[in-house]
Amino acid sequence: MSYLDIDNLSVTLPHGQGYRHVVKGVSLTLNKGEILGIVGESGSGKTMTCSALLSLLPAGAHRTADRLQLDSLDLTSVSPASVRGRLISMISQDPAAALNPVFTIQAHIDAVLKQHTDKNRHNRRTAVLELLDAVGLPDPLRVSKRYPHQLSGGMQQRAVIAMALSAGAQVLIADEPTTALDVSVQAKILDLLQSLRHNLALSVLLVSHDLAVIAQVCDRVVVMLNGEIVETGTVQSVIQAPHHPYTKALLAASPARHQRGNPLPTVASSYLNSGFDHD
Amino acid sequence: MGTLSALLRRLLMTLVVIVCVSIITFLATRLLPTDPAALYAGPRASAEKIDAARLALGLDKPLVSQYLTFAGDALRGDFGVSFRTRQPISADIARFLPATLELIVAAMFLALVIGIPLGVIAAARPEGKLDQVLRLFAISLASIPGFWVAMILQLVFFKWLNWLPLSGRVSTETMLFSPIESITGMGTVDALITRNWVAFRDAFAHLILPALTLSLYPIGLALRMTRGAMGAVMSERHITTARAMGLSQSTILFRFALKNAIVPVLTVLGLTFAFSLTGAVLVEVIFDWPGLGAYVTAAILAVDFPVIMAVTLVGTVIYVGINFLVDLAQAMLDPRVRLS
Repeated sequence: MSYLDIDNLSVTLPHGQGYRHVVKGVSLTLNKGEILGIVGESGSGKTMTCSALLSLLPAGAHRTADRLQLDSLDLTSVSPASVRGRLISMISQDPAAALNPVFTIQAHIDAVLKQHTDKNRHNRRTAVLELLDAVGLPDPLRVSKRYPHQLSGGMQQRAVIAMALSAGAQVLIADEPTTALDVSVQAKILDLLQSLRHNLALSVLLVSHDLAVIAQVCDRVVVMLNGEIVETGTVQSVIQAPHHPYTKALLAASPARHQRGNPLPTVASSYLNSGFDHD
Repeated sequence: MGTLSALLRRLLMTLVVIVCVSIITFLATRLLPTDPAALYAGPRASAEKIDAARLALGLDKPLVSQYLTFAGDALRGDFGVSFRTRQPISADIARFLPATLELIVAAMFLALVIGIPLGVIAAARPEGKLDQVLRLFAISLASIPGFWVAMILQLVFFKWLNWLPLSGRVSTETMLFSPIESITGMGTVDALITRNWVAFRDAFAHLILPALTLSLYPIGLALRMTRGAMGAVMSERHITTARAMGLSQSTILFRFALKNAIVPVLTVLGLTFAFSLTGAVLVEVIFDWPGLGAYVTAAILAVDFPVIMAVTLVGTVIYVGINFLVDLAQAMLDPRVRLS
């Protein structure tokens, strides 16, 4: 029994006089304590799929789905407010931009705790320090008093993760969580996601365009192209024996597999915008 | 660089500005073709009398020593006497400045508590109905002439409803039976300090209409500035993050976004405050409010140099003081800003 069950999710955005499909009938499942990778390039609908789960779509967007179910809860029948932060949280690419520059880390996490729990001020303070400790930040007390710009990128991303998990969300959408970070820091954040999955049974939707990142931590992966899922399977099977030509092209374009001296293959543009009303 | 040393440097700069303005005002009065001695001596004075005045005012001395005398006296709070009324200017300013400050502080308070929240509400749904209505409201407030509004307010609240007094700072009854002991010179504040409740009610009632009239422009300004700054902040990534973590719309708007957006609003309100020191003439005249604006206007019409110089200097000191406070507020609100 899967934990998060998405069946036939579609999203349309207003476009000129009409509209266009940016997510077309996406179906996927996420198990408890699983990390599911979503790969695809910009504009493939990865982020829109995630935003749709939190009802964070742009103005005028329309969402339809046969089923959006979390555990035994029908997500289409509850208010977005009861989902965001409590059940599903989202962290994004650039932790420096994701944190409010004029508030301390303490104030960030405290606001989420205040919103979702009835802990008093003192208990919230303790909870903030526990959360910072849980995401592997050294000296939580000192970090809690810092402003975002006084922390390194890796520490910022840890703080954002602490904020995202503070209200007990069981599903974390991580939208390119390591893209803006150094490679060494990247690995540590991925390790953190792994340990959270093991320790808290956290389920993670890991959105990335980086196959190396996906291969490192994901159990299964879905490949998206132009708003549709074109391939899905275990990481091993998808990477070792891709079926869809787009996946093959994507893998061939990976610098890691590239042999020095030959031009790096690129994904043929014919895969993009195929049957897709782009602006 | 430590905050304290930055603070001191900022203060030093403030002093330099004040000295520069004092030199410029001084030179302007000496370079104008009008002869101060002739003005001092009066319209039908003989040549001897004018020469005597020149000696009395020290106008025969070199410019530098004249300036030093002027600056030294000003530092001690002595701005000389008015050419027009022969009254000591310091005493006049001590009387008129508090009245004006009381009016402006009340108006700015209204701008803060009305203009800013309305700007935030307008930014909640960009281009929504409420946003458009509030935009129109802001433009109307900023463009309706104050003197017209003042008269309409008097008509409605004094003549028709008779809820509020027509003009002045206190009523005659209060002056006779429960006079306000002057401490700060601001009627409502003094009545409050001395717990003279009858007088407080009266002084407050007198303050409402002129303060409201004076506040219309800053309310409109604060509304538009807040709306604009909020619009930019609301599209930033950290707002999306706050949403994704389930923070309520009011927390996001009034806490997370507003703290980012408020600094430019405070800056323009500070400028408006300084401008209103002498720019509130119309309001002061219509409501018979004995303030600095009416005082300096009369002085300008009479080419009353010492008064003009004194008011300019006092205005400058308040202006740079307000700017200093705004900078301080900015440094407190935004940790990335360091005073420099």
